[in-house]
Amino acid sequence: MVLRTENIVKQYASHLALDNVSIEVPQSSIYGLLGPNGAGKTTLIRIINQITAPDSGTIYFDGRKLQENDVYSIGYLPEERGLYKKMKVGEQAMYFARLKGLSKHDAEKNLREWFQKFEIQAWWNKKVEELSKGMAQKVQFIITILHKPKLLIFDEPFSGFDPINVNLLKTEILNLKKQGITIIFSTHNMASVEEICDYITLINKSKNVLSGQIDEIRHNYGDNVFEIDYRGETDRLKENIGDNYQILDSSEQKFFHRIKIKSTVKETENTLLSRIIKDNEIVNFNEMIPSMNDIFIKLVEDGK
Amino acid sequence: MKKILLVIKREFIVRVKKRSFIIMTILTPILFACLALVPALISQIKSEKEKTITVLDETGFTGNELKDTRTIKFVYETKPIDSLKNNLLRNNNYAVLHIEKNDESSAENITMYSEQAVGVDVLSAIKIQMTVISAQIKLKEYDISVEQIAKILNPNLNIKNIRIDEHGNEKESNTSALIGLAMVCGILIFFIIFMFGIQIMRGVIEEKSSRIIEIVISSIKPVHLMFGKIIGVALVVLTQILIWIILFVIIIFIAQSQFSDIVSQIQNYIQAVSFTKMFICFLLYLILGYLLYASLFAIVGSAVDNESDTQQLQSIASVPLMIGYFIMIIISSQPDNPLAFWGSMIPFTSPIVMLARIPFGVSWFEIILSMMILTATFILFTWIAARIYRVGILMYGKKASIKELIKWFKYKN
Repeated sequence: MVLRTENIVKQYASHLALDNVSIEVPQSSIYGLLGPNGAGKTTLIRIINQITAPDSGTIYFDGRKLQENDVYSIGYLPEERGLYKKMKVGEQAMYFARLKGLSKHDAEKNLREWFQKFEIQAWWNKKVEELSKGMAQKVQFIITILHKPKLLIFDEPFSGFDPINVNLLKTEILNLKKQGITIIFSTHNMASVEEICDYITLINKSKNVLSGQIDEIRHNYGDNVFEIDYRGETDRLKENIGDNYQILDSSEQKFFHRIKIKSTVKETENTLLSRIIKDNEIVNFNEMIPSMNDIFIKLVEDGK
Repeated sequence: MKKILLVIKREFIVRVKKRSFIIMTILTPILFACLALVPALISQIKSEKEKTITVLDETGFTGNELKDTRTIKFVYETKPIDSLKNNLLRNNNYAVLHIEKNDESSAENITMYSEQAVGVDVLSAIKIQMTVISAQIKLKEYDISVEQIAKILNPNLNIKNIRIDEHGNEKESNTSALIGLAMVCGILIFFIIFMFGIQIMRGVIEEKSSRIIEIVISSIKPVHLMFGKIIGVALVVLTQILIWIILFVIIIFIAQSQFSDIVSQIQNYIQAVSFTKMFICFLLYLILGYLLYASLFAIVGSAVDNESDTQQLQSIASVPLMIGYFIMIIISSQPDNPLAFWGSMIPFTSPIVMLARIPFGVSWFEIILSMMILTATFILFTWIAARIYRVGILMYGKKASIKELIKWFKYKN
């Protein structure tokens, strides 16, 4: 575990922002931190970054309690982010790099490398106010990862990026993961969660309501619904699967029939297949696994 | 510590490189020179247009002797007053001066008819002339010439003010020079504190509103960031003053060859006002006063999202400074006013007020006491500011009230 939080509680005046939140972030994983607006994600991230302190609870980083110097090993890209408008890009990047503990020499060397990689060397002497939003975000991304942190925290990293830059960023994030860096990823964009996250935690109303490996979660939330495309007589199929399956939907496609059924008993997919195969020809067989989006909405709605 | 240095360096370099800093540094001395000239200039401008005043003197008292001035032209008429009044607007005249015939020979029944209210300058110009005429008539009766009277009334006396210090040394003091220098120092402190206080506030707002703050404080503690900012700007202030001193010395040096008498006059002034005392106090009060107000302005900056919301809170920080400025003006003419003592002890006004008192002679004891109060207050306020700041910079959306600031202050770490 790179990062572990234990029973974090944070109270703001009359509002409980975090209620006993514990998460465990394994090494070299991409960890999605999900939740509706105002659920407490940003507060948790701020606590990990030591911007605010929890009222109670402990944070372990790299196997020991989180220390002040650990800010040098963490990179943070906040959701609301900006740069000094009047400062030059290079100068500014140097400033942030040195605040993260890099020497002047290392800061400049790393920066030049990254500017080259992103093909933005020409921006070094430009003022930030001359950059577009997307350009500025590239600079912010570089600033975040420049000091080679062990843990990276991205809060809504893709907001404001065009699709090309989103791709570039995704590639870089996956690259960083390959290098053994752990990434916490807070977002509303469920498609990108399914695409790149290994683990997730869903925070709703200040509580951790769901944690785990993403495939496992999706599978667990599957309610045994199957979609089957087949040829042959529908009556025969219905007869063969028996009363253990509830028929949700049945439709005629151009070259085959389609049926959507829900199992009411524990029965393996193979048994189901063998039942159908008796009198029908299977074209397509699909278990309907819910998307993260469905799970997210379901849990948040249930929580109301 | 290393990080504070980085912040200080950034705050300093960004500001010193700004065009406005360079312009301010050069323009301020020029501005002050102009300020000294403006009163003289204003008194020369006064009225713009020549005004024609029709005079109907039924008594013959003025004997056609009202003389035209630079702005007033007198035209004597003998027509009846009603027709003159009617013609007033048509002839575009400024006023009709009517001296009515009386039972007695003196001309006491004087009326002016005009469209707009007659200006004080015109009234007093007429009054003076008529007084002189009246006096001349009377003097003729007693057979005294005007020159004799002038000598009696204006004997050309000159009062020297010699100050005696504790060692019994006598020093000629030029009170107007003392007041002048004190005022300049006070105004300088006022403007510098105000200007750079606002800069601190703007810096905080910039970081907050452009959301840089969250990136910065994931690497440095908010309190350290605030200290770095305050110290960085303080260095800018000191740099600016250093440049001004150098400029001043250069100007004096150049001027010495050209206008030796003016320079020696300045040197006399400087000797008359214990200059070293003044200079040391100026620097110390400037720095301490700046530090106190810087933390106040930092609080204001952290409490709002954008500059248009600062008005109300900013006045809390700037009103005491204004009060100090006004007290300074009052005591420049009344150095014994009790305001002088209290103003120079209360830390929010003391940096300005004490400066204005120094030329009139203040004991070191009072100065040191006042500085100690100021130092204690600035430490207290920096501590308060740090506690409010760390919460305020992360609060978005609403304008904070004083109540809210107190709540932030009480938050645990």
